[in-house]
Amino acid sequence: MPDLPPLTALERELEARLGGLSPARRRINRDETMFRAGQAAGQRAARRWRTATFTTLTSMGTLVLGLVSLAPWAGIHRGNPAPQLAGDTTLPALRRPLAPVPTGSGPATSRLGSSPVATTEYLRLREQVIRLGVEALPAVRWAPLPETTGLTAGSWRPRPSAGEPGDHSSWQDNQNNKTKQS
Amino acid sequence: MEPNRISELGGWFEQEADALVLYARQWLDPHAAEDVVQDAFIDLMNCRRQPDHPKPWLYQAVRFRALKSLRTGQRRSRREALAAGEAEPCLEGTAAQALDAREAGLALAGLDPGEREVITLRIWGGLKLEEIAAITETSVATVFRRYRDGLAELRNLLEPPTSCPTCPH
Repeated sequence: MPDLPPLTALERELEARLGGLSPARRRINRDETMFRAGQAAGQRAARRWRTATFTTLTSMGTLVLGLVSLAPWAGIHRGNPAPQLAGDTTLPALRRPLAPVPTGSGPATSRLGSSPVATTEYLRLREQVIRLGVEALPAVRWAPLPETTGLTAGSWRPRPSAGEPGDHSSWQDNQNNKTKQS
Repeated sequence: MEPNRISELGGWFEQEADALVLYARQWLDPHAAEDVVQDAFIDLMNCRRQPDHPKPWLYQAVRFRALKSLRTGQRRSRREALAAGEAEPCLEGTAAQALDAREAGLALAGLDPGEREVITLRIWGGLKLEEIAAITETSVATVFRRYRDGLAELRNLLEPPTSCPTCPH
């Protein structure tokens, strides 16, 4: 503080007389001011929460949009044509009019196999079932077994005795003897 | 807000609110001055970091708000404020006191704005010259000079020199 000259006696006296007067009494009161301060603090806290919520939601939205745009399948959502497979992948059965499945002599499963023809056949059958229901399945015909392959009472023959054609017991005896000797 | 903090601020309010309103009435009418003081207290209560010296802070806040309000023209003009001040005396005193409060208020209103501000801050605000210099953004020497000039002007206004019967003029 710079060296300031002291006040004169007259100045000090006037200073004291002025200091004896007090400012006019205010009309605002402490409680009202405190209430308004609390209100302002509450509004500020609410504004802070609103800002935080808005920021969080905006960032999350931006993040989700970024992830969606970076995803490999996003082209579909953007309206780009889906990638096409090379060549004609339409099954022949879907282009042809549906034709009744020819019923074979054996069970339906006997017509299926691992060959491409069998797979196509199966797919055609599947397509028909999907469209028309189970009635589209071919009727199964149980063919009678041929007599030559069947086992009937007349086809039974007794075991050949030793020495007769078809008897393998001597060979079996030789094998047993070799085992014992070894 | 903590209870002890509330009581501390309540004490500041009871102690300084009247002087702050008087300070703000230099620029604004009484109602606007009270609004400004209330806003300054609300600002103080909602400060994240409480000032080290709340009293000079409050005066600075009131000055800033009052001048801002005056500049934006939202309040009545200075002339209207003075008229309202004449209707409502800014100082109070007892009948036994030597100075008439109403005359002192009018004399204060007739001072140069810089002198009036310094005298208000010094006498009714009870601030040091350094603190007044910081608030008014001037040097301590300027504050002291304005203070002395203001006191002299007040003395002239309140106690006009009596004419000497022996003097020729």
